[in-house]
Amino acid sequence: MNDTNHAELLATLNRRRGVETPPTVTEVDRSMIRRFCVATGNLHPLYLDEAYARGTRFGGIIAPPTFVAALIAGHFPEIIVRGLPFARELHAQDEVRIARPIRTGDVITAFARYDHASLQVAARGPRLYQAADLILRDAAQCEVAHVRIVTVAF
Amino acid sequence: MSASSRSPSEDLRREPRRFDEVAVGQRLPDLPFAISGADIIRFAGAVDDYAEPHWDHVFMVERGMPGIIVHGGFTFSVMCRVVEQWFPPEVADYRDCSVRYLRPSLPGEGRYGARIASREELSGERRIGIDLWAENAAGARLAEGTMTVVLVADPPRP
Repeated sequence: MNDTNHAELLATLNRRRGVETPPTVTEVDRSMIRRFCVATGNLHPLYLDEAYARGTRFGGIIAPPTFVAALIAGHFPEIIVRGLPFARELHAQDEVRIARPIRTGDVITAFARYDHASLQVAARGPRLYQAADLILRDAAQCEVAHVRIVTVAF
Repeated sequence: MSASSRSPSEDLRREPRRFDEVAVGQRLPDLPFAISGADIIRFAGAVDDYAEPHWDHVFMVERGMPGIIVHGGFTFSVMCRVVEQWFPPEVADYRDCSVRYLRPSLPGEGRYGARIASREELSGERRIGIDLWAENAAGARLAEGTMTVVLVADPPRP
């Protein structure tokens, strides 16, 4: 691709600013948290053992901080434009702001919003970054977590 | 040890630290952790993410990669687990965390580490900043990140 094509591609992508994925609603249950914890080798009883968790300051099972990854189906990578004229497309960066732990019984509404695309010309060739935000809210519409996701194509 | 080979009774060695026992520059114990192809599929099921890079070997080879790669969220989750050794969730709120993936993470042995980057008391909050990283068996950095924890209580002295 030449510079003109890069500029056109960036302009096309940046016209997507503000595009959102259709929201999904998920009721978080113990089995979801357990599956995630077993998959990541995290066997802390606060995440798995109701009797133990009841005796903590939380009063019940909560999810580990990266459990947000279990609530992005349908939003990431869908919010990112894929199939671009680059050989590889990879997940580059995550920034997670956590307002409170997710717990069993939470009804989480999730959606993603496209933010922007940018281009960096590196020695090994151009790298195209796309950034999107994943927003998780509880039943009271309070934000539980906000994740900035960045991908790179090169 | 991989996620798939763990029994429910096994876990990290936890040695909770009090706020006054923590100093900038201290390293938390490393966490060795291997991720197999089966672990990647298990994580894909747990997060409902079946993107080709995580299961389609041919797809990845055609793009110049050696094979399937670990989900970023899987790598990040193991990185964050290192923090639990000193700051378990019973006494610590995990506020913000971030990660940059430096190179694709392939199945295999890995080592996950963390270091205290900051320690401050602000408006009554005891806040600790932690640098995190993941390395492969050859010692190459796969990812770097940060986490902020707020200690809401001190663990009891042994």
